[in-house]
Amino acid sequence: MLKFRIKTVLLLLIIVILILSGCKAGPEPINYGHDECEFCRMQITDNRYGSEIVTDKGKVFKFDEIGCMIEYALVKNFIGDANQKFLVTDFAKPETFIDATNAFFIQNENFRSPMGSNVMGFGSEISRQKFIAESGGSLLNWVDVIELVKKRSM
Amino acid sequence: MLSQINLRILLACILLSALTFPKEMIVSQSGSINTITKAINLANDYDTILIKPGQYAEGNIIIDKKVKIIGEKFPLVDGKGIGEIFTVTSSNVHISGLIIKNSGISYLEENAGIKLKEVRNCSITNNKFIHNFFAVYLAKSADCIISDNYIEGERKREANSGNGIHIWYCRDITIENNKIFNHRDGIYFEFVRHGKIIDNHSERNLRYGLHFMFSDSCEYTNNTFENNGAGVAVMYTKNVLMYENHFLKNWGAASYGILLKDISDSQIEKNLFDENSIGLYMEGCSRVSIEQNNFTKNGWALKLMANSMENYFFDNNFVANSFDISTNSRQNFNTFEKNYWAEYDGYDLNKDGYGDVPFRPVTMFSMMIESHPTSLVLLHSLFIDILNIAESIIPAITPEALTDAKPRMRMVN
Repeated sequence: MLKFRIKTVLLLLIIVILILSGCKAGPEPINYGHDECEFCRMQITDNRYGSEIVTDKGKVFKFDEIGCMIEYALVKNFIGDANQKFLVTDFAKPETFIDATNAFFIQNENFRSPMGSNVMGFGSEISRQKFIAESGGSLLNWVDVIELVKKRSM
Repeated sequence: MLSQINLRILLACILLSALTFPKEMIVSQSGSINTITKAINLANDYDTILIKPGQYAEGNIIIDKKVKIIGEKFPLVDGKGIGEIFTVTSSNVHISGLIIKNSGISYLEENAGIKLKEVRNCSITNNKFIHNFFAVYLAKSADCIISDNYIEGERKREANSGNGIHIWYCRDITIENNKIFNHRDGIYFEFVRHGKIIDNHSERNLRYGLHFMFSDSCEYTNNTFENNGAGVAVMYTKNVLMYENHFLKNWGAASYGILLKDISDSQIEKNLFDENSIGLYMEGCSRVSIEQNNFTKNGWALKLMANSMENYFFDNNFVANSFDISTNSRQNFNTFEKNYWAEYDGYDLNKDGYGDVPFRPVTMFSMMIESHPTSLVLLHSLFIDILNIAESIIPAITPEALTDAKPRMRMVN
């Protein structure tokens, strides 16, 4: 009898662990060339610009660039909500996500992002300065980028 | 005396004409002018440069004079995979009859087979573009024609592949009768005014057959877009005319005959949507009239999202689609009238050619799939048929207002 109980408890435990691990909220890598941008519906192809929102409920929304991500976030009232996680790609390391709120941004019209906001994110000030020295552009932080997108969408 | 003066004037005229009239220069590998670059350096405005058969690999060729470049029996101009091939910076340049091959792949530069920058009255006709990063690239230009070209890319990954015909910030551009294969986007329009895309064939491109953004007052007619990675995308635009195009075989999870996003005051007429995952997807569209189109053998003929309003669907044929219409809203602010629906099973007792009871094209099952995509496995099951019938009698979750009050009994020809 006891043995049976232990077995069922163990089994339940395993099931619960499996379910919980399945629920774990976290960034999901973008499958470039297959995934679709949640905002503009375009296929996401350029691996230097992909962006992502992970919501407090663990839902993942993928975008082809930061402009689409912010426009979507504005519609959904995600901006300023600390529970929503914003991720952008490090321009210097394609396909690697960095936290958008602490990222270093550059806008440069000569580098055309998929929807034309032409904003690139960098993981460190060093890599941003390196880019500026080579190609130029204007320096922005996360708040500046939001303002820029707001202005564009008006 | 008089005749002598006349003669002198005539002679002077002839001399003058010999000096300034356009001359023809011949480039051949065995001749005195053996490179295209040399010929351009020697040329004056309005000269013609005739290129004899052979292979020319000269790196980047800059055309800064008003010249006509004509290839005889398709000479090969090879970029050897480095940089750009032709860069045109002068107006009134005409290039035809060349094979242009291997412009360099780059992450920073948009290297093209022929790039035209800030020019007017140019034409690119009857060339073959093979394995270029971008084939033809027009920026900030006007009144140009790109016609009768054969364009084939390498079909690598999207990041290593550019667009076939790329038009950016231009006006009055005509793209006619080109054949485009294996690029990223076959034809790309961004910030174009009064562009015309006619009689082109765009097939097997990695992403879109036609990618069209922020381009008001443009028209595309009689083109075929077949088997492209994601079909055709037309976005953020007013006043687009889309007539008599064929959207064929765009299969895939996110593939569309046309993806329409934020389009207003436009017309979609007499097009064929055949064998696409989603024939026509509309999000944020308003005042678009969709008339006399054929939707056949699509997964979804039409997906109409909640924020689309005041669109008119008249005289279309919906035949053999898994789903005719699906939507994510219970409301409907669009008009459907006089369409032919193969699924319609009502009668026409007064014989006016239209069914006596309205047709509801949105089935309960299609609503179910919108919220729970995995339930698609139940397609064609008895359970679903029963649900659909029950729902059609007492609508509970399908949009009540989305009906065709006058469904046709016969197809529109």
